[in-house]
Amino acid sequence: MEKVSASLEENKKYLQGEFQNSMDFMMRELELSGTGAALFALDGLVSKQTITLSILNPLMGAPILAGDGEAKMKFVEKSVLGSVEQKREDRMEQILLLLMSGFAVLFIDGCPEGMVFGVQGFESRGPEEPQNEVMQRGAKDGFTESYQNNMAMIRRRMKTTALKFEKAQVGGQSHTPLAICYLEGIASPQVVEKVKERLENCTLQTALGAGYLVGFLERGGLFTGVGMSERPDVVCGKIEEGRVAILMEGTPSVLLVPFLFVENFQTLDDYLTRPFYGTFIRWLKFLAFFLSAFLPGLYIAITTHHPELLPESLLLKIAQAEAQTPFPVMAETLLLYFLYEVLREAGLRAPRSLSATVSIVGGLVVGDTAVSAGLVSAPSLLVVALTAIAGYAVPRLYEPLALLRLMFLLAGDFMGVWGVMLGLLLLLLHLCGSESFGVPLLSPAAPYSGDLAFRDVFARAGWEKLSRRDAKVQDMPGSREIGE
Amino acid sequence: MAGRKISARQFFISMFVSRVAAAIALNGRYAGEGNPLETIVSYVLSMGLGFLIALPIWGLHHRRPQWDLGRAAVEDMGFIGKLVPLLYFLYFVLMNGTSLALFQLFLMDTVNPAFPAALVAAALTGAALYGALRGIEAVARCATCVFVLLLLGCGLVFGIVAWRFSPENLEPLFYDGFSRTYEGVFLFIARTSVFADMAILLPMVKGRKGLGFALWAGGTALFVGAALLLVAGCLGRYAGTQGFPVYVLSSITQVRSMQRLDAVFTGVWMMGLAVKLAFGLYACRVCLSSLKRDPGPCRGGAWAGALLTEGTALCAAFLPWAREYLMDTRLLFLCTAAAGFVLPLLVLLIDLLRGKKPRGEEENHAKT
Repeated sequence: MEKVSASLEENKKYLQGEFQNSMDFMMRELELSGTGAALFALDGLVSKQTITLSILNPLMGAPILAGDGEAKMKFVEKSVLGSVEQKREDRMEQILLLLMSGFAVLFIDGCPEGMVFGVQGFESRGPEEPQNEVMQRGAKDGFTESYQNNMAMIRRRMKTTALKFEKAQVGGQSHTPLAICYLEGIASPQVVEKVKERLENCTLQTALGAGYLVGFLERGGLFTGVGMSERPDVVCGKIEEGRVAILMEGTPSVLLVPFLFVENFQTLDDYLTRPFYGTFIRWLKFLAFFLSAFLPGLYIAITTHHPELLPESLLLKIAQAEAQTPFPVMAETLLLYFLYEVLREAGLRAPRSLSATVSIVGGLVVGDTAVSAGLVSAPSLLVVALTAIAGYAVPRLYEPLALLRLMFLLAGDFMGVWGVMLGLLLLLLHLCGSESFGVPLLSPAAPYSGDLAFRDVFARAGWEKLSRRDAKVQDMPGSREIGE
Repeated sequence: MAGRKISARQFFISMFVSRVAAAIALNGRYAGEGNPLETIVSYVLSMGLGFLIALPIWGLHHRRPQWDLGRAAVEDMGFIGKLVPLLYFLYFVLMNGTSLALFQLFLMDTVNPAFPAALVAAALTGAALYGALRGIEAVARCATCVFVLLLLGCGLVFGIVAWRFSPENLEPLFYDGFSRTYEGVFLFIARTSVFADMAILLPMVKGRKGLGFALWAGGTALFVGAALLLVAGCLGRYAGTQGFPVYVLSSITQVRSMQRLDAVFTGVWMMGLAVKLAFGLYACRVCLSSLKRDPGPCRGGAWAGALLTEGTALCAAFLPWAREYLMDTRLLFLCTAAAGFVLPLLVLLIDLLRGKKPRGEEENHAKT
């Protein structure tokens, strides 16, 4: 059934058929001056109080004009109901979708259209501080699972008519609604079009999280060209720079494109502190990234192939520690690394009441006992622990770092420092060849633009300079029109 | 292939990295022995001569800015012209192969004879192949990063060894006449693939190319000059007895926080070499794409170039008789002269003789 029928009975039968065996399907029949009518909704998605106060009470209490169904519907629409969100709809597929999105629908016998009302009343979590993006000085509210609430959070911070929210939908089965958000006149129209095109081509049947869409928005690679944030202030800042945000119903994570490599090192706190300290923190994060990626590989490379690089006293200490363990340094580092990953995963997945136990068993029992039993050396344990801690300074890069560490470990073991250097070269080639929606991932460092690089990459300039002109993401050096 | 463009700055920085990677590998056995100070003069002269050698390339590029030399030869000479991109392909294989072979020899002779040099060379070729397949933009951007590392690494090494510089180690210039200086000029020209790189890759470069070339020549002369001056001042006659004097220079660096920097120095050198190889392999791609009717990217060219490069390097490193031929300075000089001057001049003359109005026609061609 494509269109709404003028017969109430047919409409009733159709909806009852579609929602057969669904106990949340609700129907309330009523009579309007001798004409049959029925109101449909899904329990749990709507607010019964709102339905009673804004639909049923006015309908039952008002004197309805005599006439056919069409005339009654018109009268009800114009003179009886005071619901804010109401519209007439004649496509049955759309009505089904709206019903499942928390709308109520009213059919009047003789009228070939239904009237839908926005009476959503499902429970939703209130804004809380995001646990994955903790800030020292930023706002304490974060996105929720309702994309409408999320839109409101963005709108509250950017009171401009240039802010647009375009509607989209993904999921052949789930019909998950999305909002494509951008600043008109700032965001690149090509990027907006490309986002829409890629979302339209999304073949997902069910989309349960923002991460599902990432694979459809980019080609893939070690480093993502799609950012994610749970903070409205961060998303507003990104939109201001010409990025496009994708808000998805059912997830507090908002996707951001284009997303550059340097953004992995930027946090809102950088901009809330004084420039020199923001710059210092930025460099600490760069250092943490290199430490986390290269330290285990370099440790293996130097101790195995190039001991001449180390000062004698340090070399002796390492040699002494290694002499007391049964495994070669590569094996024990690899073992410790995997043990750490297992402990991390266990700590993450274990029930909260048990995660403290996991930490104690992992940190104290396994770590301390393994060293005192002479199974692993203290320097190797120190290297793995340092690597792990450094990785958390750039949490957005945790996934690629986990793989990079392993790659550099193997390269260091096979070819020493040269292997690590070759690995670095491959990493650079990969990064230099990657793009996010036509913008080079490493921009503005490579291709280099001194002005932009010392504005907000290698240094965090003061707000006077930052606000002096736009730094639109699509204007980064090396950017090109998509599809070129 | 001309769709993706890099800036002149990126191109000549890449060429700088390639040149420095080749210059670091210069050694007494394959590069001719002599007073390092005279070698500086040789380098400066070779750069001056380079401006003259490059004239036909600039001339052809001015007439046919959208065409690389291979494409121009095919368009102007038809079937016979296809020999030109093929010859360039072989030239890049030879230059890449000999550079890689020198690195293998360095690993085997100087670092550790038991070291799996062939494995390192294969890994280097693999990295370069990955770069060539990612495209010229990726390689050029990466080269900029390597350039920074190279400057930092070499700056650190040069800065530390500068304390050991002793003017007493310097020998008077031209004490044994000028013959070694001339030989040095030939040597440096023989080991330069920048002319061929320009002939093939200039259409993919935008910006102030002439200025870039001049800065490249000056910059490399400064770098090589500084390295050779330090070799002469720090090592003296001892440098002449060493296989790879620049490496020996780095191995005498001692800093408090680290013992020696030679492994790091060699790593940076490797990265420079990989950039050189990647550019060579990308040029191989362009050469083979000129043979096709549709001038689209030819990934097979990079694969074929990588395999042949690896084969050439292995032969030159492990077969003494092959090494004699492949690393012969006269052969390399002839090849570079042909690729850098003779072939571009020939194609330019034929293009002039055919007398076609070039620019508008090219635009049409580029559109197709």
